[in-house]
Parts: sequence; C-alpha cells; structure tokens
Amino acid sequence: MTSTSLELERALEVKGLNVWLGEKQILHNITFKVNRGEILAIMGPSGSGKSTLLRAISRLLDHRTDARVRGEVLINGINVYTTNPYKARKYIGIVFQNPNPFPHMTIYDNIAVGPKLHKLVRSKTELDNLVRWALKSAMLWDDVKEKLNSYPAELSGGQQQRLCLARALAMRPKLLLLDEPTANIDPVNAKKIENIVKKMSREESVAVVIVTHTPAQAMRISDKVLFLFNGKTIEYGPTQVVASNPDHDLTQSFLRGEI
Amino acid sequence: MSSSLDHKDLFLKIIVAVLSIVALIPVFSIVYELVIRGLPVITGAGLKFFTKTAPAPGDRLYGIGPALVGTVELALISTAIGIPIAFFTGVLIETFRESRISQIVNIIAKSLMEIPTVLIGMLVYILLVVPTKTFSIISGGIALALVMMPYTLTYIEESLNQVQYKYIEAGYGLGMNKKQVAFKVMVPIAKRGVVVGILIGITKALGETAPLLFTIGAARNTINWNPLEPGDAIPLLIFDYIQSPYDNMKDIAWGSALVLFVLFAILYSSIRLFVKRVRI
Amino acid sequence: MDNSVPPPREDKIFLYSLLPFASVIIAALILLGIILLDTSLPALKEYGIGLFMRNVWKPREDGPGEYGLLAPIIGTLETAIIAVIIALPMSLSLLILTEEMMPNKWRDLVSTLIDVMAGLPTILYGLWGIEVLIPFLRDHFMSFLHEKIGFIPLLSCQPLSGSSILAAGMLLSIMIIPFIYVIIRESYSTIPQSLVEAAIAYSSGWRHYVKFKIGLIKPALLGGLLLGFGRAAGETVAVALVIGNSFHLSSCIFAPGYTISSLIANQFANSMYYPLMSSVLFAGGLFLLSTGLALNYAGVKLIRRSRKLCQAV
Repeated sequence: MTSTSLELERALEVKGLNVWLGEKQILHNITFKVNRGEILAIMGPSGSGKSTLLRAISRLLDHRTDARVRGEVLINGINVYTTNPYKARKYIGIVFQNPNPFPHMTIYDNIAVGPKLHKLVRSKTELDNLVRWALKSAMLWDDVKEKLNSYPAELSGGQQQRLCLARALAMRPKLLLLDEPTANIDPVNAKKIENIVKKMSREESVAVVIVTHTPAQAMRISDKVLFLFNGKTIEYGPTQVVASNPDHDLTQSFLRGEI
Repeated sequence: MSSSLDHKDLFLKIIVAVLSIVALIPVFSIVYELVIRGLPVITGAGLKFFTKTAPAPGDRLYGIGPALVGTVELALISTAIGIPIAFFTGVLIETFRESRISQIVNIIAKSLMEIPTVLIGMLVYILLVVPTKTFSIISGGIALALVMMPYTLTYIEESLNQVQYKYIEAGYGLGMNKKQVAFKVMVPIAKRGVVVGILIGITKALGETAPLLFTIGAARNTINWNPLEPGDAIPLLIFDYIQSPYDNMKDIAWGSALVLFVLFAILYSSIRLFVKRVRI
Repeated sequence: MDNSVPPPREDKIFLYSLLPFASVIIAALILLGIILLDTSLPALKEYGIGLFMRNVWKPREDGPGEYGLLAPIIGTLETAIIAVIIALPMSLSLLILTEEMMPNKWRDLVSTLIDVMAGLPTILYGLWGIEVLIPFLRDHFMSFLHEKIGFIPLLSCQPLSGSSILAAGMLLSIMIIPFIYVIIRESYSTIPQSLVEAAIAYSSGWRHYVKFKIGLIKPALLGGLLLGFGRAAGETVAVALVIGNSFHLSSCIFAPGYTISSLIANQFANSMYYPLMSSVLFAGGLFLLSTGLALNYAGVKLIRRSRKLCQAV
C-alpha cells in the first residue's frame, strides 16, 4: 500500500491542536484521526470546547477576530490552515446545533446553493437529481416534494434540521461535521438524523465527526469516541472499549450522567 | 405606600404630560398651517401651480415648475450617486468588520452625518462650481448625495449587522467566500433594511436646503431639464420666497411647502410599509 | 507555530473592489477639512486669532476690509444653549411619557409622531418659525416677559420685530427635541431586564423607579445633549429665517443676532465681490467643522459609555 492511499483512507487528521478565544485557551493539544466510513463522536459536558473544535477543523474560527489556532488539521492529507479555506470547505459538510436554513431561499434553492457555488453540476437535470438525492438521503423528500418552491419557515424545527443536513449532503462531502445536530429537535427527528448519518457513513464512505453531549447517542452511532473535558482529551479510543472499560474516572462519571 | 408619595408621583406625571404636549404642539401647528395656508394657494392656481415658471414680484400667483423639475432631477442624481456608494461602503463595513479600514470608514461616515450641511454646500462650491464657472443641478445633486450617504449607509450597515450570525456561518460552512456571504446571504436577508435605507436617504436629500444655496443657482425663470445648467429646488424656493416682501411670493412659498410636505409624507409612509420605526 | 494565514485572495479582491466606494466618503471629509483650511488661510493670516475675538464687519471692495466673527460665534453658542436647555426636559418628558406612562397603542402613535418631527424638512420649520412662531413670540410672549421681568439683563431690551436670538433658540429646540429623544430612548431601551426588575424591587413608588432608570442613562443624556447642541449649532436655513441677521452684540436675547451658519447662508453669495470676505466665511466654516466633530466625538463616546455601564451591571 502506498502512502497516498493511506492518506486517502484518513479523511481527517488533527495534530496537536490548540485554540485560544481571547486570552482563554479553549482547546489543549488535541490529536485524533477519522478514516473514511468511520464515525467519531466527540462528547463532553457543555463548555468543554466541542463546538470550538468543530469550528477549528473547518476554519470557521477565522471569522472571529479574537480566535487564535495552533496545530495542524489535515483533510484528505492537506493542511487546511495552509490552503484556501473556501476550497477546503468544499469537501466538508457542516450541520450546526440550531437549524439554520436560509430563510430567503426556497427549499430547493437551499439545497442547490452549495452545488451551484462549487459548480458540482453541469445541467439543470443534474442539479434536480442531486437535490432529489440529497432530500431523499435526509429522509425529507416525501415531506417536501410537493413544496420545493416554498420557504423553509413552513417546515417544523426537525424538518428544518434535516433540510440543513440535506444542504450539507448535496455538496457530496468527504467529511461531515455535525455540531449537536439533534440537541434542539424532537426525538423522532433525532432518531432519523442518527440513521441518516450511519447510512451516509456506511454507504457513501463519508467520514463523520459528531459532537454530542449525550453519551447514549455517542454509544449508539459512533465507531470511536473522544471524551473532551475543559478543552483536554480525557479519553480517546474505540467506542466499545471506552464504554466497557474507561481508563479515567471522569469518563465513568460522564457515562453515568454525573457530569 | 404613603399617600404623600402618590401625590408626588401624580405631580411628576402631570409635569411630564404638560411638557410633552407643549413639545408636540409645534408639529400639529406646522401641519395645520401648511394645509390652511398652502392648500388655497394650490387649489386657486390649479395645475398651473406645478407647470408655470416664477411670477414677477407682486404679480399674480404661479409657478413652481422649475423647482419641481429641479427637485426631481436632484432626487435622481443624488440617488444615482449616493446610493451605490452608501450601499457598497455599508457592505464593506459589515463584511470586513475585523479590519482597520472598516473601522475607520465607519467612524468617518458617522461623523459626516453630524457635519452641518451648509459646509457640504461650500465644499461642492469650491470643487465644482468654481472650476466649471457655473451653478448646476448636478453640483446640487452631488452635494445632496454627500448629505444622504451617511444616513443610508448607517441604516444599511445596521440592518446587515442584524442578520443572525447562524445564517452567516451557514454560508461560510458551505464554502462561500466573503463576497458570496455578503450578496447571497446578508443582503437578501436584510433587503427590507436596505430598501428603507435608500428611502431614508432620498427623504433626507429631498428636504435639504443649505447644500443647494451655493450650488444650483436658483434659476427659476425657465424649466430646465439639463442637469449641467442652473436650476431650482422646492426647499430653496421656499427659503427665498418667504423672505420676499411680496405677498404673492409668500403665498407660493406656502403652497410649495405643502407640496414638499406631501412628498415627504408619501416617502415616509412608504418607509412605514417596511418598518415600524423610522429614524431620519 | 501560530496559524496566522493571510486572508484568502478572493476576499482581498472583494475588499479592493469595495474600497473605491468607501474612499469617496473618506475623501469627502478630508477634502472638506483641507479646503476649509486652505480657503480660510488668507483671512487667518490677515486677522490672526482676532478674527474670532473681535466683533466687526466692514467689507470693502477695494481692500481687505475689517472682519471679526465674535458676534456670530456668540450667537451660535447662545442659540444652541437655549435650544438644549429647552429641549432636554421636553425630550425627557416625552421619553417618560412614551416609555412609562402609555399603553403600547398610544405609545406607538406618539413615537411615530416624534419620528415624523425628526424627519420633517428643516425648511418647513424655518417657514413656520418666521410666519407663525415669530408673530406669536412678538405679540404674546416677549413683550409680556419684558414688561414683567425686564430687569433681568437677558430680557432687558425692547422686543421689536420678533426675529431674535430667543426665536432662533426656541425654533432650534423644537427641531432637536425629536433628535435628542431618539438618542436617549435608544439607551433607555437597552437597560437590561435584570436592572429594570431591580428598579421595581428597590424603589418605593413610581417616581423613584423612573428616577432610578433615568439615572442609569445619565451619560447618554449628556451625550444626547452634546449631539443636540452640535445639530443646533450647524442648522442653517431655519435659523437664517428667524434670527434677524444682525452683527449687533447684545446681552439681551430679544435682540436679533447672527450664527455662523446663518451668516454663511446670507453672505456667501455676496462674498465674491469683496477680497477677503469669502475667506472669512470659510474660517467660520472651519470653526463649525471643528466644533461639530469634537462634539460628535464626545457625544458618541458618552452614549457608548452609557451602554457599557448598563451591560456591566
């Protein structure tokens, strides 16, 4: 096996990542890898730096004036911090904690905007197909196929979140970053989203990083977990191992729901 | 609670109410006088009031034709120049918020708003009227553009600023660059604010007098559509005519003032269609 | 190693494509400063600082003539001071009325009315001032005050035409009431809910509650006062119509006077015929610009401090 194919296996690699917001250090020396088709769950109590980690990976912290980042983030072997962030984000799909479909775009345009931006399609038919595929993948097609030209405000919160997921999937990302995507929606929609994520990972070999504050969700869907506490990695390993035999007392108490 | 306290409360409330009423009386009085004195002038003269040129002093009534044409021209010119500058500068301030340039531009734009508008007139006089050796509508239009810019800019910038960060982040998340985030996300979401900013700028420019004093030349004997030549404007006409000793001129001033007020009211109400609060 | 990457190329291009628009605004202010300085230099050289300290206006067509701007400078300050003295309690009353005494429906109505006042073209105020306010002041207000309390130097002169420092000050106060109101209402509405609740809990009665809340926006009141003062000092046509346009320097506010901006409005067109007059007027403009910018800077700073104060608590 050559080194290139090894790197292709490795969709995301984070090495010694430190992040400061203002004077405060939010993340300390974080290191992990995610291969294609693998799901990594980042768990930890709120305020542990999980969302900041996702934003550091996607360079969304660039848009905060007080943020400072040190370390390496490699996506498909390319350091995102030495390349153009907008090109790097082409390969990443991001879903945020609060549903944020563009309120001024129709449901169709919400999905189509990413592919059009990056010229992923060459014709209207191709775009139509991609939109349908993304909505079907997000299990939203049946809900919205009659109203592709209406606005997302008509959808429920859970549907809006799945629309955001579909918007991210339409970019055919190699890496999916999910920031507590089910925190603010109902259990039925949450379950659906978990299934979609698993399916994308298995069938499309997408690498997934999902941030969650519920250990149960991490256990249900992930292959690996990283337990973050006060910006430091407490535990990192295969989900089964961490669940059955955690090294650290903190991990145990988190899994038991004590912190 | 003792009753003496309640008495003092009541006393304060009465003072507040009385002062407030006194403060509001002028605006009622202004509108009342405009209608009472202005309307008969316009109805008496009929359509000719809007189409005829200036009368001889002490002659019969009519005409604010040149001023009406000039005001329309001024509105068009100042909008065409002022709005693009205000809009794109507002976009700059908002999208490059973290940069030095944005902060400097923001401070300068805000201070431009507090500069007496008569100084803008002097500036344009030196920059345009003196070199071209003629007063002109276009000089007035440029002066008004400078007056409207900071208002439109501030309003647009504030409404872009109110776009929720989650949508901006969604844009960046899709790989949009700053330009795409600005024009595909922020401006469309804030489009009502942008329209209101433009209307506020026009309203502001329409009512200004001082910047026109030394720029357009108060030429009111012929109706002039050529912006390179001198012309007139309604506010300037009011300013000149009301100082005239002749009654017919004063009457025309009142009639013109009603016209100006109606124009203002139309613009104001169209702004109200978009937003509840209107700050001009 | 820190990741301090330069901004992406496409963002730089975008910034550079926006800069020409912004530079128009920057250039306008810089050019204004330069031109005012440049054009007022001859007058400043000829008369020195005395230009602002002496009261004399003797234009000559064949020589420099004699000029001093003291009367218009004093007139500017006097009218603006009268304006804020009247406008501040008025706008504060309107604030208390709309924010603390009225049900929402009424409040919106009055607020709308004040917004209309703020936006009304200034020439309409001027027209109303010369045709309605001045006759009223002359016939019902000034002579009454003069007869009753004319021993006060400010009210000692016989009111003649009605065009006066007082009329200008009052008209300006009417014009800046909505302006100050909008500024202080903005600060008032940013008082956080937690502080409002504290105010309700700790004050014994409505009066204390209102006083407490007004106390919280004190810097904004001062800031609004300064910005209002700046507005009043810069207003041109409305003042030119009611102030009487006289260089006569008097301690009495019933006498006519001049302000810098009304002087410019009145004399600028003639000034071309006299060697140094336009330079003198530009020097007056320079005075207006510098005081305007200083007042604006101080006012905005105070209003910001008021916000921060509320947020810090």
